[in-house]
Amino acid sequence: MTVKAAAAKRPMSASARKARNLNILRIAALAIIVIIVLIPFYISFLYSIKTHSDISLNRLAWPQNPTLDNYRRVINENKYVGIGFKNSLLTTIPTVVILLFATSMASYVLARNSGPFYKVMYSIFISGVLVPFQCIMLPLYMNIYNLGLVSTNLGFILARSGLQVSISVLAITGFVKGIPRELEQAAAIDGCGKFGTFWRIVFPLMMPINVTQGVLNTLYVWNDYSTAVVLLRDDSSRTLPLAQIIYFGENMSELNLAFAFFMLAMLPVLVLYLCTQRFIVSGIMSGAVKG
Amino acid sequence: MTVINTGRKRRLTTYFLREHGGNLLFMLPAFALFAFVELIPFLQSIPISFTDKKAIFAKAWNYVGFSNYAKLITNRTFQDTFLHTAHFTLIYILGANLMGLMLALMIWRGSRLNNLVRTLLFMPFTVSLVASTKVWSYVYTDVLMPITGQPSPLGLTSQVIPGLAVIAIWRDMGYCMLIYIAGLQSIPLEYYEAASVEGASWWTKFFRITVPMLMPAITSNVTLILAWGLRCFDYSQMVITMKAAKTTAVFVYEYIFGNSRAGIGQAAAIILTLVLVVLTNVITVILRRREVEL
Amino acid sequence: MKKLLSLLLAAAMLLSLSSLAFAEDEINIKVFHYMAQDAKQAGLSAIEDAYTALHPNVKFTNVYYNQGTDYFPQLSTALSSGEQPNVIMGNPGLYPDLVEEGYIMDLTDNQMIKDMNLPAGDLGDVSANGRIYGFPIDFKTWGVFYNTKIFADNGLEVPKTLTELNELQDKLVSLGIDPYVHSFNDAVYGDIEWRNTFWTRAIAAGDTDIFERLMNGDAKWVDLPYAAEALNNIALRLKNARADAMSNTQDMALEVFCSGGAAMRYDGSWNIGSMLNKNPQFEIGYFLVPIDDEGSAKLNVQVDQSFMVNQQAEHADVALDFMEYWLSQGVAWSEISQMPLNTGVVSDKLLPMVRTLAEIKKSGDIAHYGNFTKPLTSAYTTALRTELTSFVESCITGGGMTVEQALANLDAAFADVRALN
Repeated sequence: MTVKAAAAKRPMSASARKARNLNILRIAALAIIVIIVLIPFYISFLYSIKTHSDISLNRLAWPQNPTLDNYRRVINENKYVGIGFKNSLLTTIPTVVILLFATSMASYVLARNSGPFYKVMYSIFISGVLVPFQCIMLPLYMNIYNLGLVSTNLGFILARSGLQVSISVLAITGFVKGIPRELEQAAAIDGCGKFGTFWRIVFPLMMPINVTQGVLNTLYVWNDYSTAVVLLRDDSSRTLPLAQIIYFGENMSELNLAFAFFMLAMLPVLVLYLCTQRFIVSGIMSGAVKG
Repeated sequence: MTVINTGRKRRLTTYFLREHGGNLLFMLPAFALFAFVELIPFLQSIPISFTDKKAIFAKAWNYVGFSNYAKLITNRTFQDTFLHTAHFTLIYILGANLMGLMLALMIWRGSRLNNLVRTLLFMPFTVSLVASTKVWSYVYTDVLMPITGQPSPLGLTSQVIPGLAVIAIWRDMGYCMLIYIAGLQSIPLEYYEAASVEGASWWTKFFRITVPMLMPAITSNVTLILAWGLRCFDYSQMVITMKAAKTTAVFVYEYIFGNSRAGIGQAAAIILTLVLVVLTNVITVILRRREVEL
Repeated sequence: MKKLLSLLLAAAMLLSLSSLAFAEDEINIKVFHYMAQDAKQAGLSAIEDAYTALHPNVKFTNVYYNQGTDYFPQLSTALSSGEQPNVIMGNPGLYPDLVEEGYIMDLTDNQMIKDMNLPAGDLGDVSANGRIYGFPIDFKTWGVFYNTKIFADNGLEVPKTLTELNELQDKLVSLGIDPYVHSFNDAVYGDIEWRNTFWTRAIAAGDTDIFERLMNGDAKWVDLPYAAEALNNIALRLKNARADAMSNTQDMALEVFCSGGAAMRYDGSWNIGSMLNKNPQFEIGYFLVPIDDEGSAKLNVQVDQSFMVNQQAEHADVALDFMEYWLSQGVAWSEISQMPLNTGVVSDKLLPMVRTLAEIKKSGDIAHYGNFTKPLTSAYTTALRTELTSFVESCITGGGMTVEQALANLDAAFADVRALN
C-alpha cells in the first residue's frame, strides 16, 4: 500500500465537528433505509390484526379495532397449522443436524488437502449451487418415489439435505482455511488420529461457522416451497410454509387471514434468527471471505 | 499433511490408504447426499434433452440428436428469456452488492446501534421467496401507488424486471452486507492509520485499501448472487402474464411440465446450466485476479 | 305401524352389517383438481360425503393445485412415477397427452352422458379426437358485472349496443366514477375480454377450425378481420382504466368492485360466489357485452368442471360410478357451488343471475368453445395470453401499440411455439 504523502493538519475542533455531523447524517440515512426495509413487515403485521371490514375500508390506516382474532381463526379453523408446524420441525431439525456433521467433515477434508483429486471434488460439490432446481426436479422426484419416500418426512429430509450440501461446503471450507494448522499439527504430534484431531480440535473451532450455517440452513429448509410442493403431496405431510402458500392461494378473499398465517409461518424462524443473530453477525461467511 | 508422518517410514500404499481412506470416509456422507439429490438426477436428466419426449409420463420417444438444442438457440422467445434473466441478474448483483457494501461501510464497527441495525437489515432474508413476492405485490399497490401516484412496476413491461429485482435486493442485501462487514473487520487498522498519517483522503483510502482488501468478499457475494439471479424462478413466476419478465428457469419449467415438451425443456435446462457454469467461472477468474494476498 | 318400524329396524341392521362387511376392503379414491374457490371445494366434499354414506367403504382424498402454475406439472410428475390418481379434473382437449398415453377412460358410449342430451358444444369440450373423455358438469361464461346501486343512483341503463356501452363509460367518467376495475395480473383476463368478440365472430363465420389452423400455421392472425375487431373492442373498454388495472390480481380487483370502487367489472361467472362472500349486501347485475350495434353478441360458453376417469388406476369402476353419481346429483352440486349446470336444470336455491345464465344457455343462442374443432394447447394459450396482456398494457399506459402490431406479435409468438413443437 503506497499512499501519497500530503500532510496537512486540521484543527481538532473542526474535525470533531465534521465527524459529529457525519455521524448524524449516517444515522439519518440508516433510519430511512431501515424504515423502507421494514415496510413489508409492517403491512403484513397491520393486515394480520385488521378485521375484514377494516381492511376493505382503508388498507394502511391503523385499525379501528385491532384484533388477534385472525390468528385465533387460522389456528383453530385450519388443521394444517398444527400438522404443518409439526412437519416443519420434524424435517428442519434433522436436516440441519445431518448437514452439521456431514458438511463440516467434508469441508475439513476439502480445506486441508490441495491435491488435484480434492480440487476436483471441491468443484463438483460447489457446482451444485449452479444447477437450476427445475433441471433436476423430475429425476429427483422419481428416485424418491422409487424408494417409497414421497410424502414422508424422511424423503424431504434427504432431498433438502442434499440440496444444502453445496452452499454449506462452500461456506465452511472457506472458514476452515482460515483456521491455523498449528493446533492440528500439535495434536497429530501428540498422537491424535485424524478423527480425534477433527473432533477434539477442529470441530470446536468451527463453532462460529457451524452456528451460522445452521441458522442459514434452517431458513432455507423452513422456507422451502419448490421441493416441498413436489415431494409432499398428502395433506398430512405438508410443512407449514407449504400449507401457508396453498392457503394463501385458496383464501385470497380473506386477506387478513392470509396475512395472519403468513406471520405465523414466519415467526419461528424470525425468533430463531433474533436469538442467534449475535453468532451470525460474528460468524457469517467469515470463511467465504477467505475462500 | 506432510508434517504428520515425519519421522516414521511407512510403505507408500498403506500411507496412501490411511491418508486418503480417512479423507474419503470424511467426505462420504456429504457426497452421498449430494450425489443422490443433485449429481445423479442431473446426469439422469441429460439423455432426455436429446429426445423428442413430450409429456414427462410418455412411454415412447425417439432420440433426435442435437435438434432440440438447435431449435432452441434460434428461437426468439427462448433468446428473450435469456435477455430477461440477464437484465434481472445485472440489477440484482449491482443493487445487492452496492447497497450491501454501503450499509456495511456505515455500520461495520461494533456498537449497540449498529448491532441493532444489522439485525433489522438482515430480517428480510428470513422470509421465504414466495412469501416475499406476495407481500411485495401489496407493498407496490397499497404503499407505493398512493405515495407516488405511479402504478405498480409489476404491471409495466418497461419496469417489471427492475420491480422484481428490487424485491430480490430487499431480501438479500442484508446477507451481502454481513459478508462485507466480516471483510471490513478483517482489514488491519494499521493500514488506515498509516494512510491517515500520510494524509490520504477518505476516497483514496477506500479505493486503495478497502476495495482491494475486500476483493475476496466481493468475489464471494458476486458469485453467489450471480447464481441466484440466473436461476431466478419464483420472482418471475409471480408475474407470469408479463412476457417481459419470463426468465429461462420459468421457460424450462413450462416446457418440461406445463407444455408437455420434456425434451425441449430439458435441453433448455442444460443450456441454462452451461451458461451459468461458464459465466460463474469467468467472473470468478476475473475477480480472483484482483484479490491481493495478505 | 309396528310392522313398518320393525321392518325399518331390520333394514337398518342389515345396512350396518353390510357396511361392516365392506369396511374390510376400504377403497380410496384420489381426486386431482384445481378448483380454487371455497364454494366448489365445499360442493365436492358434499358430493363425496353423500357417496361415502351410500358406500361406506369408499373414502376420498382430494389433491388441489393451482392451475396456472402447479396443477398439470404436479399431475404429470405423479403419473410419470406411477402414482395413479383416480379422478382427474380437466378438459381432455387441453391435456391431449393424458389421452394419448391411455390414462383416460373412453366415455363415448356412457349411457348417463347420452341421457343428458347435451348440445354438440358441451360434448366437444369434453372430447378429444372425436371421442368423449370427460364428464361435463357445469359451464362458465364471462361478461360485465355491474353495481346495481351505482346504476340506479345515477339513472344509468344497461347498454344494448356498443355505442351505448361507450356512452355509458363516458357518462361514468364525467360523474367521477371509475367505469371498470380490471385485474390483468391474472393471465386469463386479457383472454376473456377478447374471447367475447373473437369466438362469437369466428363461429358465426363458420371458422370452427380457426384455432387448429392458427396452431399449425395455415391461418395468420393478421389476416383475421375479427381478431382486429376483438382487439379494438378491448381498447374501447380500456380508455379510462384505473392505475391499478395492470397490477391487480383478481382478488384485489374484487375487493375494489365489491366495496363500490368502480361501477363495472369484466369477469367470469366463477367469481359470482366470491363477490357475494366479500360483500353479502352487494347487489350485482350482469350483462352480456355488446360487440357491435347490431346485437350480434352471444353468451360464450365453455364447460368448466370436466372430470376424467383414470382407467389405469385401481378401482376405475368405483371412480366411474362416483362420477356418474356426481352427474346424477347435479342440482345439489349447483346449489352449493353456484355453478350453472350444462343441462340447464335449475333450482330455486340458485342465485337469480346463475339461473339466468343457465336459461340463456339452454336457449342455445350461444357461442360454445366446444364447437371449435380443437382448443389451443397450453403452449399456444400461454403465447396468446402474454401477447394479449402486452396489448392491454399498451392500451392502458398509452404505449402506442397498434392493433396490426399486436396481431403481428401474435403471429411471431405462435411461430416460435410451432418451431419448438
